[in-house]
Amino acid sequence: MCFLGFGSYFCYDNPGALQDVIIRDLSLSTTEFTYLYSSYSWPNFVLCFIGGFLIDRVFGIRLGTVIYAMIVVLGQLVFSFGVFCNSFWLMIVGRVIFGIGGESLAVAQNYYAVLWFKGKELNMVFGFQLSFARIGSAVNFFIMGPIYDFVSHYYKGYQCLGIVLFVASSTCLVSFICSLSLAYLDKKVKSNSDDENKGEDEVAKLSDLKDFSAAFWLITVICVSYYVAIFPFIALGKVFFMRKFDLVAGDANFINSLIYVVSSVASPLLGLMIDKTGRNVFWVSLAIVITIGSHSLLAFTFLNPFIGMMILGFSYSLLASALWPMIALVVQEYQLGSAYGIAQALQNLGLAFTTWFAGMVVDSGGYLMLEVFFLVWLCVALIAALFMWIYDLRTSGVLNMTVAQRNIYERSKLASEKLQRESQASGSINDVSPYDVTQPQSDFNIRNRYLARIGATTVSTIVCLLISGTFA
Amino acid sequence: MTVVRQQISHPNLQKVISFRDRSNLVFKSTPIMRRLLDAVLFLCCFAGVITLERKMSTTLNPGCGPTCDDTGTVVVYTRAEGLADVVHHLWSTVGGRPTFMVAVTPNPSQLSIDWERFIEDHAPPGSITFEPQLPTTVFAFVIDKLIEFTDVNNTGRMDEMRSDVRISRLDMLEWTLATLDNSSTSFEGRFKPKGTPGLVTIKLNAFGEEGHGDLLPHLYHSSNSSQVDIVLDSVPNSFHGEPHAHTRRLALKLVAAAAPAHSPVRIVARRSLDDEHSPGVFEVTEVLASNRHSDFGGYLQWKNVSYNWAEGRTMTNSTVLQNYAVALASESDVGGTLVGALLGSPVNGSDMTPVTFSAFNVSIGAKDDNYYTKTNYATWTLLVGVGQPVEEQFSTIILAILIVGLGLPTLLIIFGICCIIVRRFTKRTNEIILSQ
Repeated sequence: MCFLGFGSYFCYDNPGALQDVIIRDLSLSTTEFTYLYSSYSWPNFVLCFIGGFLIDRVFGIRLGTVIYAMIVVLGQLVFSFGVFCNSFWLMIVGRVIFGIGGESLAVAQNYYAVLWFKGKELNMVFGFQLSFARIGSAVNFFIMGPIYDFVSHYYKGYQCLGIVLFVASSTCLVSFICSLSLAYLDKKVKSNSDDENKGEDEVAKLSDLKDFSAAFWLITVICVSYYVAIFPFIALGKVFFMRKFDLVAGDANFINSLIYVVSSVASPLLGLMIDKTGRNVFWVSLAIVITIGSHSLLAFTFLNPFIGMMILGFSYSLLASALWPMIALVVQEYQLGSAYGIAQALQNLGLAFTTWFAGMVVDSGGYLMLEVFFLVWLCVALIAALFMWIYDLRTSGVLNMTVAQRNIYERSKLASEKLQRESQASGSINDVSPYDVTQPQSDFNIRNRYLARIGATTVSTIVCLLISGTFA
Repeated sequence: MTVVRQQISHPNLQKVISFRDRSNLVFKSTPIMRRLLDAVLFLCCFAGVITLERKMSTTLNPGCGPTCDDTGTVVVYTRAEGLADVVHHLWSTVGGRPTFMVAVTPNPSQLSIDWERFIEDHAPPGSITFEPQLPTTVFAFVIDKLIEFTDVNNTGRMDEMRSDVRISRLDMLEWTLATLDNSSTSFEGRFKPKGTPGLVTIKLNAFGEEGHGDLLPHLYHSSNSSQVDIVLDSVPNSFHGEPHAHTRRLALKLVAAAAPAHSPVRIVARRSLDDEHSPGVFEVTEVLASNRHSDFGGYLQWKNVSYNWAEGRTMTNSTVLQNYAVALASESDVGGTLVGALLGSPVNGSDMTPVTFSAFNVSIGAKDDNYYTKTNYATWTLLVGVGQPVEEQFSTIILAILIVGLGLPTLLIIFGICCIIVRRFTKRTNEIILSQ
């Protein structure tokens, strides 16, 4: 099951790992290069809303997963073929197809995890999946360069690049085979029991928008403005490190992958720390300040980028662990699915725009300007975090409570709600509270790869909150 | 050569380009006013605003008249007049090699060329002088040789042991003056015999104020410098038909002359944080003819980039420049050029001695860039100036963005802390009141 997502994570950052040769062999400008990333994000602005729906209502989990895995393979093949023919528009089409499949595949992967491991080792399974995702990204940065060097003995220029990407698509093929065997296993298990999970899933609805609090929108602002200073940076990082710090291609890829390596180690630990301490707003603000510091180190000094990227990886993990669980604290639980869907749709929209814009900044204003551009986004994130702090101080204060305080708060809130419900319900059996209809799955099927990247404990925290919420 | 003759007979050539001399203000005011103005000027300078301007005037073959007709002699002279001194820029292809010279004299001082001797004896020593006062500093360089070499191992470096190196003097090119107007001058060199493809273009700009050049890499120049932009387009491949012909790269050999100078030039490579004006280029190379903090001597300065696409200069279509060790050269290396005419001995009892000549190579290209043969196009843009190279500051826009971007959250934090203190304080007073 872990290999299901491996292929798409591996291939997602292929362009980043081969940035210098892609630009050289295909004679692309940095702006054109970034289209490869933004074209991945465009379809996902929509798919965040409907990806889960399609699995639930149209395909079913087995067929859906197989179809998505097939789309991923197809997308990567089209992309490779486009490179092989040096046809830029075909490459873009390939990346769009790949994006359609990749993001939904991540949703399907989470769906399987919940179906199979609900109430058992779910946290651990999520942990494994996320580690695999990050290992996929990191392995890509480590091995794509050597593969290119090897193939370049036999082929030259864009043909060589095309072949290398064809080789990379074999990982997608492995994922596809996994999806087939998962469907087979799932069918075998399911034939023993008639437990079908249909018709109970909440799908993100636009009408939910009006119900969300200011705190939720501030979190979304942070989601967008923080992550646009991370992912486009990784996409463009290789050539930046090569040019500014005079690193050879292999070292630049290593430095670039540090952010994934660090976060695969630090995320669980930081997640655990935040589980113990609470005070999420404080940690989020701190993470943004540290990120500003590390971006400044990369922008305004020649200090070894290893240091800057280690700090960046650390702060990135800290933010992810502290930020995502906050959504669960500020929206009603039956709206969680919609909330995550919206946050991630907007994040994809932001990524699509800024990745494209970042390429133009590099082409016309250089990497210093690019770093300043990222710093501006981080400042926006910091301002949003501070506003949230102020907002929280003036309202319930739940976001910045310690865990102990939060438990007391939750208990008193639940108690008062229960009291209210008892006084309202006058014996009718059909009077069902929102908590009763919601199943934990609803929140996972909306979640896409960006959430999947953020940290094992983060997700497990949400899962815990959810499960405790549902069964409380 | 028709181009040249037309240019010479053109009446507009003696045109004088004037700028308002803002520095007047500073020196004529009272000490307090002056200090205030200095402060303002310093702030302006910090913000990247032009502070010192010189009055510029460009002339072709100054004071020559009919002597130069039909000789093909081209000496472009730009006089950059400041308050205390004059910077003289002299460009020529006399002697078959492009020569670029910058000299500083006290103001007033005039360039004087003994044209008859200059033309007949091929720029003999002493045929160029300055009157009444001699230059305090002269810095010049000659593009001496064009070098082709094969890079079989794809290292990007010219290696005498492994590369097949072929050197040709630049007088194998037919040089003409292509344009001469207020803003720029350009020379074109065509390969002989006539009709051979390949063109070397050298575009020149003298500057009377600080600022960025128009062309990528937008070098930041002082008011004491001029920019030399060299384009090597479709240089004929002398390895043609040989097995490693496709691995050909180009290099140039430069001879620099500095006076007064006791030692050869030093090549210093440094890194710059700011790539705003030359995206993706962080390395700056300087050839220094003087110690730091000295007003004498001169410099060459370039960003370590060569654009290799004729259609446009972009970061994607670029490679790097490589420099090599400096060797001592001699007066004979610059014989027949402007440099020989001004600095060759005897120097008429001037205080310009000692003159030091140095030679060094700069090659174009790096590992894995598919060689010069990929596009058959390469550029090299450099500044030649007197005094010290100026260091570029972060641009106003970057500073403004940073101040606003970091300032707003800081204000918010302060505001937030105030809120907390006020809240705590009121809470405590409430508690006190309650307990009472």
